[in-house]
Amino acid sequence: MELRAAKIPDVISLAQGIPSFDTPQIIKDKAIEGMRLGKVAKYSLVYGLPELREIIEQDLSKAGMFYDYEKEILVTCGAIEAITSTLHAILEIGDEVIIPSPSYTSYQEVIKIAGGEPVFFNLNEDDGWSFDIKELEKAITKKTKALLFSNPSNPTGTIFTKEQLLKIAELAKENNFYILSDEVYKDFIYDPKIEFFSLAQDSRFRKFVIRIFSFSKAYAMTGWRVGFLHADEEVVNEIVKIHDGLVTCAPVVSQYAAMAAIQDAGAEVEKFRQGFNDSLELICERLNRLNKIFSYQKPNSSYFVFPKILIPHKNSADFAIDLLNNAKVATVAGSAFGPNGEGHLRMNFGRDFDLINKAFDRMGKYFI
Amino acid sequence: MKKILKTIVEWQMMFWAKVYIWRTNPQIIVVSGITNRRVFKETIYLKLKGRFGDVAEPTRCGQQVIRVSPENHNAELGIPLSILGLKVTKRSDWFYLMYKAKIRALFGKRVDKIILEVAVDKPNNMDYMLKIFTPNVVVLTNVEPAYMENFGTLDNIAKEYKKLVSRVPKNGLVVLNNDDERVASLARFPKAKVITFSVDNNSDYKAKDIKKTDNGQVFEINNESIELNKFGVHYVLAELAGIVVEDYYK
Repeated sequence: MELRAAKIPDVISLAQGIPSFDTPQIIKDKAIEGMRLGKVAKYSLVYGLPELREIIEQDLSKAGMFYDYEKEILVTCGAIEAITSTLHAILEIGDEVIIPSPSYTSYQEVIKIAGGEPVFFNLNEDDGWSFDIKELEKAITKKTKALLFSNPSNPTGTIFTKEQLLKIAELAKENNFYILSDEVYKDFIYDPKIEFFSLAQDSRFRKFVIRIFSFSKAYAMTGWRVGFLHADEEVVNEIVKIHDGLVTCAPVVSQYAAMAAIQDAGAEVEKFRQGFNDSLELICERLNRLNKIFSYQKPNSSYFVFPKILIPHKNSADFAIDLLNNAKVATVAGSAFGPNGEGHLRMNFGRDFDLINKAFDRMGKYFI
Repeated sequence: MKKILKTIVEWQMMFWAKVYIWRTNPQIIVVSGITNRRVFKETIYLKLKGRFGDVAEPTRCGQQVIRVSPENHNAELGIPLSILGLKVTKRSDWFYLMYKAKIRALFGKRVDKIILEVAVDKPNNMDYMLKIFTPNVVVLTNVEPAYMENFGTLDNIAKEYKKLVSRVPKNGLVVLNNDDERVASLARFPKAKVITFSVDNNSDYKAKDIKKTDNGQVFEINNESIELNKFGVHYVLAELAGIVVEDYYK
């Protein structure tokens, strides 16, 4: 959609999942210092800089996740490389990977590239897009090798509860499949009553859980391409072989930036979170004004809202293209996120107030 | 101007740290190495705290006080701040900090032990730090390929640590990771007693039968089984070093 939008002048994009903020200066400074001192020209160790992995290990342990930085933490080129390398490591041709519907568009593609088959199970829209355990159970077969999901969810912004996640983990243990938990939005939670839980905090499921994190969203570093995964040593041993073949190592300049991100940019993340919270309130207010066109579940996290299209339309793809061509507002068709996304659009509220207001002013005029 | 001010502040901090050490004569325990310093420092602190207690004010019963450097500090300012127990915030007024350093040096309460996490990131860093303190105990974690850009080779990094271990007095202790060849090779330099620890090679304190559990790992040392709720051999090594230091202070 972004490519299509780029060809049309004066489009306001609520499509691509990039935040409006720039990378904090304190992070950039560390990268600049690394360049100045000649630290970034060469490859790092394939697992990543030891000092970065040490910092990650300490940070994880504060959150109740205990992993050996030498063998169980792998620094990657963003979350998508972590997921791709993992899938290539664990899948045989024809293995199935269950993904929720709706879920992040790229999941289906990377599963296929790794030789696997994506199998969808529907999230329950009426219950805030929560996991439906019965739907998940129906999707499990003898060929199931993994369950891949983002928590908090892209595109719905749902935060899955501890109870739901533990049930999923029990299923994974019973049926011997991996859980790939993509937690890139975990720092943007808007309801202070919600306590975020990761399955990586429960050591009973250690052998089955592969947790993925990226610096892209929390620290506004989408272009830096750096993230990490952590899991039991045995599976990381296999993943690193693929990672080595694909990329050798994550960009070293970005690894230095990542060190500063974890150690020094906590206050910036909180500023971003508060900013997105304000944008969330704004986009909800604007959606409320178009309540004959859209209905929505208010997200608890991320910076996406996933409204349902209420007016008659052929399909979400045509609706999104129509909106782009006629109102010059880019959104993402819900069908891109899986069959259960059909009839919806994804809108990014990680944009400044002006852009959000202009986009909705245009949509308001278009739908009158 | 900024450089001149920085030099003045560094000199002041170094001076007052030295005054404090001279006046209160604490045991200085240095944890150094390329990686794993924090894990080792925290383990040693917990072991000593468990044995000796750690209270804000020393009691009449002589309960001891342990000060531990809060984070990885570089030489010039971080080490004196750690010794004096002072913190830098983002809005620190350096003149007020120098004033506080003076007061702490001249009138501050005695601590029995100071555990310093010492990093070197360029040649001759150690010379500067050894002007400030003489270590009573040195624990060396490893010499790994990190922070090498200013040193060129791992052997050059090891030279810095040679200076450190050589400075420990005869009645002190040097604790070396015998699984790291460069660290182990430093054993011939100290005047002080040398105790080694390891998981692979033979040593004075060697962990045996290391097994992974659901919650971490378990191993044997001196016929005692120790369970850790952490993963990674560096935690075993840190535990061994902690036991060595704790035994030294018995």
